[in-house]
Amino acid sequence: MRMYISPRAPKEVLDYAQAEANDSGRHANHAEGSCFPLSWNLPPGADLGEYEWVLNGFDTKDLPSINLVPVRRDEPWETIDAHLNRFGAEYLLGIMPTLWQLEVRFHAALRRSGIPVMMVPPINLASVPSLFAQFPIHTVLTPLRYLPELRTLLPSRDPHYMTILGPSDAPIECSPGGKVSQEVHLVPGMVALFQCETLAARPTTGFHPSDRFIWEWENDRLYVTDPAARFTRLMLPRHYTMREETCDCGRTLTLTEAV
Amino acid sequence: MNKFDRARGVFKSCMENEYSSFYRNLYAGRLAAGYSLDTEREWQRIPLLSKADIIAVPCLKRIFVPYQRIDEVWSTSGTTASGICTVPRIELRHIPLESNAVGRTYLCFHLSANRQRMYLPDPSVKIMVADRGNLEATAALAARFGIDAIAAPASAAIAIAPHLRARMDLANIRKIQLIHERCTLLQLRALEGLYPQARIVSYYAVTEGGGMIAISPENPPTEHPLAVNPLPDAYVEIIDGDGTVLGSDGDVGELVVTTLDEKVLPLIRYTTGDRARIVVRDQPLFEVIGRVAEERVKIGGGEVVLSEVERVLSELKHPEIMDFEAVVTEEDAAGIPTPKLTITLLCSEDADASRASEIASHIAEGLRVTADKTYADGERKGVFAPLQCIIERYGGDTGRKRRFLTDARGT
Ligand SMILES: [Zn+2]
Ligand SMILES: [Zn+2]
Repeated sequence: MRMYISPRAPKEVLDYAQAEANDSGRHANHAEGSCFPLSWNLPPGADLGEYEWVLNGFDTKDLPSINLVPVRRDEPWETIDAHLNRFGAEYLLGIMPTLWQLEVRFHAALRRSGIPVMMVPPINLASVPSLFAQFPIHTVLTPLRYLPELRTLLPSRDPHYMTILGPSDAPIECSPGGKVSQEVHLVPGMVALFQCETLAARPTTGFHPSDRFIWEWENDRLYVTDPAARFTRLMLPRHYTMREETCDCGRTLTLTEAV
Repeated sequence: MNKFDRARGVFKSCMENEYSSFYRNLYAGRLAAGYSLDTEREWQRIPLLSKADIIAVPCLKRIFVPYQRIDEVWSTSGTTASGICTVPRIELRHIPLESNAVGRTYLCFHLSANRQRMYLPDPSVKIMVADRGNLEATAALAARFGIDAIAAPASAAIAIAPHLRARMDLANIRKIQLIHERCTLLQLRALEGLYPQARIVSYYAVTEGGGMIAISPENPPTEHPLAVNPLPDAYVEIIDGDGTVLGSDGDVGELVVTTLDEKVLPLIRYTTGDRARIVVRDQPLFEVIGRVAEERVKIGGGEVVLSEVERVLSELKHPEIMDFEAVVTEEDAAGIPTPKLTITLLCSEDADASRASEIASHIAEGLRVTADKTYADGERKGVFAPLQCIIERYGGDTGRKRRFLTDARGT
């Protein structure tokens, strides 16, 4: 049985999603590989100046399906917004592969709180200690894969690490204390699953689904639909069990990696 | 408004602002009250500052606004852990330039999208950023993105060309915006060949000095195709070793830049470390020709600097040579460690690899060094080649090996 786990989804979008799924007779299936190929176009009549182009996947080795897709410059980056709301103004260092094209959206998210953007491409990871020596950096936003190297480079610092995972990436076991939070992005910069403070502090890895999408869950599989219909019923490559429980943050659903 | 009027305005706000202890300390005793900043002589009392002077002051102490107004922090020398200089940028300084009318979809190498927006304030210009990490993927994406302009160091624009050509017609590229590294004549000729329809525009920028400083004129002089004009809010001086300002066409010295814009480190006379020539003083038009402190290497009975290698290579007139990398190594010749210069010539597809030693001897001749040196050490006799050439196809990931003997500014 398939259940909708986003009760707030507008009916017409669900109908659209259903029709789309019936039409093609199958769901988009991206269980293989680390790229999560999506493509969508600008809405008709869109003002080019309000959009930035971001990569539609995580791994540039996936050349046939990789592309740049338009995202509104002011599209929220809810985990950064929530983090800054909680900790107030602070320096946040972003470590992002250049080809992800996230700089402008990262900048926009930080400017909402009056925080200067500071970014280092992974190729320049060695310069991170020098930045820490000059700025009171409290938080590092980084792809999960650079976490071990960053911890080696910053042995005496203990910043918060907000780590980005692609849909296929395996999360790590959380360390107690909540200094590492994990978020699964659909495409770089588009948060699908995330950890609130409570979930980040738990020893087992659980995620909340983003309120911005329509979620369906069936047999340990998650399907995600964009209310703006940029993608419909995409199946996430990993398996999740679903638990209904009220978290300290007020959210009522937790998704945990199915074993 | 002339330079002095603008400078007075900036000076006043720097001195009166409660956050500007950096400026008060900098000017203390030099530009005391009553300083009118309206003669060349007074101007020259503004202290000269080098990168080391700037690094010595922590970034957050160099701003004169509350930190919430800092828009972004730029760092220089990002690839190395040492000597990183961070520069607070208060807000993007938009520089509308006539040449920006060319190109709607940009591929930008080693340039942040925000920084590129300074040069291209029109938000409907599409920007894709890249580094040299993955040229194949970058080219595939850029071709799908439909680029018609490239902003890149010359070496990167050359390196990406064969990857792009496999996927698109290079005649669709209408503009090459040269940034970061000084472009050599050799590279300029290669770019003209690779991108036949592109208008090639040189930009000269220094992060520490406030970003963009100068740009190619509409019609660069034939003998100085890489000469640039300062922007209206940038002031350029060329000084000799004693700090004396030079003023005649053809004079060569260190380039000093001062921005008269309040947004980033204004009103410091920043010594760039770049060696430049006054091309036409009254325009003004200058060209950057190397670094002041060029690394010298003694090989084959002569002394070689990178700019000399460059000059000799462009005079050879081998159209297949597009760019080069030079590496100095110590090799053992008859038990004595001896410096050896290896020049990798990045050549087009039709280059003949068997001509490497012939080209090496031409270069040696031009540099007035011996290409082959016979040595004898007791029983051992042999030939040591202090200068060697390797012919390589262009299109690989370059820009790293040149560091050993390089003048890349690495902003
Ligand atoms: Zn929660
Ligand atoms: Zn690079």
